[in-house]
Amino acid sequence: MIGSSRPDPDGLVGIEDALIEIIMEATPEELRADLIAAGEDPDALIAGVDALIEKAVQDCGKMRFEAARKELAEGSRTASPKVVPFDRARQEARLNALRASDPALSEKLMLAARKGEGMSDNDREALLSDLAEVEALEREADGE
Amino acid sequence: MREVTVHLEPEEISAAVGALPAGDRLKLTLVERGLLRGTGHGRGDLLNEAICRALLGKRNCPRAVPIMAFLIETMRSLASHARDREMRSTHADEQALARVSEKVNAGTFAPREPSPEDRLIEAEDAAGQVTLEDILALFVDDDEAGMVVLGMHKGLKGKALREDVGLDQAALDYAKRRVRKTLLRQYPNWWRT
Repeated sequence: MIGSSRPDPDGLVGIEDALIEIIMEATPEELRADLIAAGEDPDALIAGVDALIEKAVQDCGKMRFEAARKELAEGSRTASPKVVPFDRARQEARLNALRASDPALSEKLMLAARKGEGMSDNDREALLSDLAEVEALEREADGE
Repeated sequence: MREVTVHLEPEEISAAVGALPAGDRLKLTLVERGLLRGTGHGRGDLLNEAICRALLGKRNCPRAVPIMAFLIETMRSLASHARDREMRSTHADEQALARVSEKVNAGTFAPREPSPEDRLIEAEDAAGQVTLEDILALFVDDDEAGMVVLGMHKGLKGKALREDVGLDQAALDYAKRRVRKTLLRQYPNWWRT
């Protein structure tokens, strides 16, 4: 139902609301005929609405894209790397045991290290973290 | 499987608006004219804003509501808020002027009598205001259509309007078409001043 409770100082609101309904009830052919009789060009009016819709869709598409870009940029700035705690001493012991049991492994680790000069602290930390992850996955597989 | 939302997604709004047939687009622009009065906006403003609010998710269109009904009701809401702003703005201006008048020494800036030119401008403004009588005068030779206009003025619809006018549905529909044709011809801007 199309209705209105707006102020009506000149008594024309009821007529406006009813005219809106009458327009909505009309067939396209009737409206075209009415507009032509009124000296208006219905095709020009339609073209105007076409252009308005096209522009609105384009402009809003750009605004949504910019808003998404901004949100992504803000998310990247505030996000921190995921840190998973692990038992460092345990993994150190496992690594030392592995190297002791496999001399070739020890040499490979040395060669794989940055510039062949031995592992940096960051490299070692990453390796220990990877070992912890592998152990967790093995436990998970055993538990299945 | 994609979850179905209660409201149309922006892409669906875009598709629905883009798929509107020419007849519906004509109706939207004509209806918008009728809602502009007192808003301070121009043609196209309400429709553009209604579409953008839907596309940007500032106003949701329920899936069960036809896109035309949604756009028209959104334009109504926008127009209502715009009229309120216009009225508050006018009222604020009047209040500000009243406050200035209170502070002013009456002996220095006493209100002056309207000049003949002021009276002429007031008369012209009053003549530009369309009244119900002006509209009824358009149907002086069409009693049935005139009765329909009076019924519309009273807010009558459907059976109540039929009984008030004393016409069957077919005759009422025909009278309403005559009303629409005459008003759109006589008042293309819907009696905006």
